[in-house]
Amino acid sequence: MRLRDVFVFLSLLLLAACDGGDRSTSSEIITIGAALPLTGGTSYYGQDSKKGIDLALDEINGKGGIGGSQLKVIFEDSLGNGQGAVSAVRKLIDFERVQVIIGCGTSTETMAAAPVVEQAQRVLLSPVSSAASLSTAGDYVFRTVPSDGQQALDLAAWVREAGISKVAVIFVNQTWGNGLKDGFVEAFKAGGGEVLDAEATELGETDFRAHVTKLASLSPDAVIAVLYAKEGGLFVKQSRELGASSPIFGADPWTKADFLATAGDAAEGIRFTTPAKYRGPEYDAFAKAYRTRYNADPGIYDAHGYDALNVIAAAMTSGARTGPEIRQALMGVSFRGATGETSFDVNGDVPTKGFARMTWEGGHAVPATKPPTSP
Amino acid sequence: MIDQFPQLLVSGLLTGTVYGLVAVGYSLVYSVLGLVNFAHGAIVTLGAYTTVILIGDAGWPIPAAAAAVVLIGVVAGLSIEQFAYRPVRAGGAVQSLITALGVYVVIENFLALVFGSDSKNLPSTMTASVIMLPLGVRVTTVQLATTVVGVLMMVGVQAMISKAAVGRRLRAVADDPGRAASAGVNIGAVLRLTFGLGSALGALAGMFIALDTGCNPYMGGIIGFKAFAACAVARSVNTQAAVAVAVCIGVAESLVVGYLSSEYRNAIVLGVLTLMMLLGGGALPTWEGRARAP
Repeated sequence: MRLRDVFVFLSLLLLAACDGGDRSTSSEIITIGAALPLTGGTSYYGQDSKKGIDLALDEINGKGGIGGSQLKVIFEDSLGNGQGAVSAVRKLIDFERVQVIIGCGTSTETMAAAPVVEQAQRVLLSPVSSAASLSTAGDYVFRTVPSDGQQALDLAAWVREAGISKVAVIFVNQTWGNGLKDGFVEAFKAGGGEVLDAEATELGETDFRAHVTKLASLSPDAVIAVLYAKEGGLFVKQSRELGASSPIFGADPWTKADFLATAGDAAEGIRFTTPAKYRGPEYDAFAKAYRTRYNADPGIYDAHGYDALNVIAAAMTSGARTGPEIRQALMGVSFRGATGETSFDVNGDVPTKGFARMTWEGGHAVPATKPPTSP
Repeated sequence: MIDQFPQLLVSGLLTGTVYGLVAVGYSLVYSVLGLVNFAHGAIVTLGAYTTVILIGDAGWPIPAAAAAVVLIGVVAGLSIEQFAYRPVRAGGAVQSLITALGVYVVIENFLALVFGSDSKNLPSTMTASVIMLPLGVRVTTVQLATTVVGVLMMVGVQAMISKAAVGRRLRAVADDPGRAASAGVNIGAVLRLTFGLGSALGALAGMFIALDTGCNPYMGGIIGFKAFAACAVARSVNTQAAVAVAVCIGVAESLVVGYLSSEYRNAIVLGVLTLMMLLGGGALPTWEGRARAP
């Protein structure tokens, strides 16, 4: 028994000696956290953002880092759900002692993490989450993507402009889905339109046949699908299989190739809104560096991940190192990058950025110019 | 609203057939062994992954892939029986149950580790053609093939159980293992046959699901639970009843989404199970192990 006690004591001593202290403010390395869905049904958000972040990291460090200190990013998997996000953010704050976190992916994740960062006074900057409710989620919550408050208006306006007055809605029962659905319904009705029905589905649903049948039986002029990429693709595919031929409108996740993979030929002509791609020299430079490194074209969220790290670096150049300091500095940042002009309003939103109207044509997502007609 | 009924019914029947295929595997194992094989859902997932990888990534034709799926299902099922269940059988039913759950978790997480926790789909170039049926009902070739093959398999299994010699031995072990053993029945062989057959059907069910909507590491959970619920409602001893209940669950889900709200889709299974437990008293199968075989 004595030997065991000695062993335990030595182990505790060793553990105590291992405490790294406040690593993120050491003069050598500045550590930034990233809580993103690297696995799970929405991992495309995390993986895309990570590519952008990694690219920006090497560029920043190549130019000498921030104030002579090299940058380091620690990634934690937020798993695509609220508990995973809280876990990831907690680990970054409590163990890695970071002051700023790039995260999260889905709005459900970011909303779950918001109270945690607010209480700990650490900055959370999302390159993906678009739900309108994030605007009032806290002083420490920021995002580089425009808010769904705007997307709802844009989508409703587009549908109305097409001469469509009666729609049926299907949405995913998550923060993003509920928020955009509510925003769209309000805007569409305000414009004189009629919403015949709104059906909820769960994340990860694969069989939409009953939903398709129900919505089609109401004879809408169009179906609005507030679904993530894979679910959206399956919904569109099954809609066409069941003979539901009314035009389908989707939202920002449908820019992902995952949508095309599950929709197949049924994706042709499907319309959706998504954060607008910025066309400027900064984007071109980013795209060129991206292609060199990854041998592929960048997507919207790669660009936002890239800008997220750059924006944080810009804020920290002035010497801001703690959460409250970085937050203060971010309010004054005006950064022109791969996603255009990023400058935050009092809610941590980017009101200067907008959404674009897109459609899938021949396997590519292109700006939509033709008026919607039934396929 | 009436015009959606034929389509809803047909869609539900097709989904229910898949549930039925999974339920047969559950029911067979329970009737012979008294074991609720929670790992069965993982066999379904294994079948689905095999399908997507062989047909989608490696380009195998469907019949060859189906043979591979059956093989993998049988091997997995027999291995689980040999290495996970056999050693703990003497320990009682609760121990077997926990082992079953453990096997399920291991397989599920192994698949997530190797293939990622994301879902995998067949290439978008492989789209099934649509067939028009009367009353405006539409089904895809995949759905139709699934139903036809599924029904044939279930009928075949039922015929085997009731008419073939090996089926007689199976029923003998299910009724009274002690007497069956003393009558010269090789209990071990019957158990292996049961597991092998049940797993083959489960893996095939996974293949049908994958052909329609792809696969993900967690798909076995909810499907396995629905099949288990069907067995529990049918008191699990009668395979035909379990299949019938499974099909009803599929139809009920479809009608609930169509006429009520899609939010209650999975709740239907839980509701039915709860109702049966309240009404039937001993609706869940008793936990005592039945065949204490060598």
